[in-house]
Amino acid sequence: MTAGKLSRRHFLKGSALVAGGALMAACAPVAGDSGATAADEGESMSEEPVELVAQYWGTRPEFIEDREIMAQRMTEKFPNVTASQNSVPGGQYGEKVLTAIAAGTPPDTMQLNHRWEPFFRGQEALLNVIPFADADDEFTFDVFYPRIIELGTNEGELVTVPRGWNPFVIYYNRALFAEAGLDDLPTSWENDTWNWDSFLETARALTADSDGDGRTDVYGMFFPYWYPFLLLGGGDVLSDDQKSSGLDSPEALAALQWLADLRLTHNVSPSPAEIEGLGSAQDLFTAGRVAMFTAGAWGIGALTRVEGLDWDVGPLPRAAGQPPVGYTQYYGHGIPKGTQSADWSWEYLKIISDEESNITVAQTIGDVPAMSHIAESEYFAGLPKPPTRQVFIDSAPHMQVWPTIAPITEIMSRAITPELNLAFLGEKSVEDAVAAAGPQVDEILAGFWGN
Amino acid sequence: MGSSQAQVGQAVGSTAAGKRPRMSGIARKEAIAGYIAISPWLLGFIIFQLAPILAAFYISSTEWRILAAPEFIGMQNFDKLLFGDDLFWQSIKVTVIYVIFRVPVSAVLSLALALLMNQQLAGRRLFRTIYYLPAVIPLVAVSMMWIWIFNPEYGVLNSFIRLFGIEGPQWIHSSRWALPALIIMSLWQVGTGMVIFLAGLQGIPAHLYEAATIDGANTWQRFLKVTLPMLSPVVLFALVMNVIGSFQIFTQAYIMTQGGPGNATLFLVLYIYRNAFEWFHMGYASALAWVLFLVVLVISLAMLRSSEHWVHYEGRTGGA
Repeated sequence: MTAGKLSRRHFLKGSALVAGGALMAACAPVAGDSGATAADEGESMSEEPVELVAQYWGTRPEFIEDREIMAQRMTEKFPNVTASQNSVPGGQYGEKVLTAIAAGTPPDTMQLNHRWEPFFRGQEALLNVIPFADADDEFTFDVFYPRIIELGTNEGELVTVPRGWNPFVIYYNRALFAEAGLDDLPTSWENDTWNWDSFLETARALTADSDGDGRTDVYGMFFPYWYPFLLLGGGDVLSDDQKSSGLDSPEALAALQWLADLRLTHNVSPSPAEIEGLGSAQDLFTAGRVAMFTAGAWGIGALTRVEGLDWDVGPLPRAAGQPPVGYTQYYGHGIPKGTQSADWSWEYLKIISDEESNITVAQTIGDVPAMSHIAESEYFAGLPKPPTRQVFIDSAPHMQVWPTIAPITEIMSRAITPELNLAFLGEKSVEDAVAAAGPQVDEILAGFWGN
Repeated sequence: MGSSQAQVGQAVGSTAAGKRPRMSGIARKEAIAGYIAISPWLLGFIIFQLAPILAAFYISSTEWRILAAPEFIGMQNFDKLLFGDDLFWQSIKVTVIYVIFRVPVSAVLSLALALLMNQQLAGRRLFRTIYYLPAVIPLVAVSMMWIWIFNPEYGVLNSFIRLFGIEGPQWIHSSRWALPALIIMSLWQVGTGMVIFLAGLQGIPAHLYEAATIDGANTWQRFLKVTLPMLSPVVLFALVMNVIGSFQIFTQAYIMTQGGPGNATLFLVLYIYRNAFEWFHMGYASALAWVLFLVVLVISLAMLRSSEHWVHYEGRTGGA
């Protein structure tokens, strides 16, 4: 065909076809959008070939390998199933999963934690796993820490089968403690001599200007997370009925002021600029620049790999008159609504949460397994480093998580954190920061509750 | 000029009133070839830009959390952002301050550099490359580097200031200094503007300078009477692009300050991003995006309209 034979009408028709086709291709789901699940339709699981995708965040090599092994185990158990993983960087998790669900192609299982479980549950995007568990003789929730199941259950529904949990503890450098003439930290969460006063005294004793140049070389402590201390002090970000800000309670104000004073008054904690210049809390700890820091069990893996570092863990210190608080972040996996077959998703979920996978959590990833008998076995508690691993496990009876209300992430990152950061920098008083954050928290909650 | 325009208008009008002139075969072929040539861009624009822009306009009138169907709420999102959202006004304030300082300072620096690089200096090509280099380095890498430069304890900037016995500010760790820090950092990329101005400078005919010199103009007068007027279309282009780009600042704040401390660097695009992809308020984020679009549109049109008074186009006479 020569150019001369192409009429304008034909050209426009052709263009419209191309544009229309491209639009349809762009809008079409990648895979079939069945929406309904086999369970919904009462179908039994067939021997037809099935492709399942488990959605995760985090792309570290040990994560990828762990997930690959679980996918292989699924295929070994069900030869007609081709199981795979979809691992994305943590920062992209929400938008990737949301996009996939909105496009009608949700993953078959998805990872959930304190951030994503409330959000996706609030969006009614997750299936209640209790009916699957009840109908399955191979599965029982009894093997998991009861408190995790209790905290995850909301209005009789549970959307996450837990896999691991990260109790926050104090990591401390034993060599620096010895240099300062301090004893090792106690190991009992009930011990009320390990309290905020003794914690501050310990931090002061550890803080040192070794070379006498007027600049602090070793800081007593560093707290990358303020929320555990808010709970320890008897406060919380929300009121008891979750209808308004709870930051203006006397307990919350006192806890936040105490935290701010650690750096601004007592100078036992590095400034954000010093932390940024020297790396993460873990880097500072490894380099001997910080003697104590708070983190979840994820610190175990990285610190164990540092040769020659003599470290251990102790419980979070109790505030005066307050019970012990074992602040934790647990994670697990759930089933998005609209998955191609909820029954197959459940089978995959069982493998992701089973004993073997819990052992991997303990040995490879370094977190505390959600199954109590695995956590308390040689796979976790029995490992040599740190010597007092039992501290993690003993936090279980005191376990608390952050609010499970759907807009909690927005409340934290939009309303509270910017204001508290100013207080911790010393640019604003704690009272002013709380007063500024309160109405923003209330507004988000009012929108959520429909007031 | 006014009368000649009217005559042209009349002439066109009289032609249009009659039978439309038939396109010759060659002209038609050329037109078709033109359409085909631009069709990939045109389709890309329609599918990936125009359609999302129009979709965003519809979404801006809804409450949409992505998984549930959008719920039509009329102008409520616009009402909220105008009258009930302090963070929106904070983001507007921060962004406008950034634009007001960044655009003129970078324009002056770019022009000064271009004038320097337009001289017959030894190694000027090397210098041009050096000054342009920052523009080709990914902004993420640049941001990481500037985090180090601005670090109050260990950064080179405060180490340099310390040489004079002064303790520098906390830069991105201070709500007072974080925005000035990002403005200073933005000047790192004046090389882009320099290249544009340099191209403009090299397009100015040498005979104009010769004529001015013969007429007794000194260097300053030649700059004011020849260089600036001849360069004014390029200045207009650079300013408009710079304003649009500055309103869209995002990466630096996202990586270096996350909008803080205390929302001191909460630029409008960062606020849009957070609403859309952290808190998943797509309707509200779309409304914010449309506000940004309208603000940039109005300012760009105002600049183009004002250009009649200060931009000189070669071959045009009269007021322009």
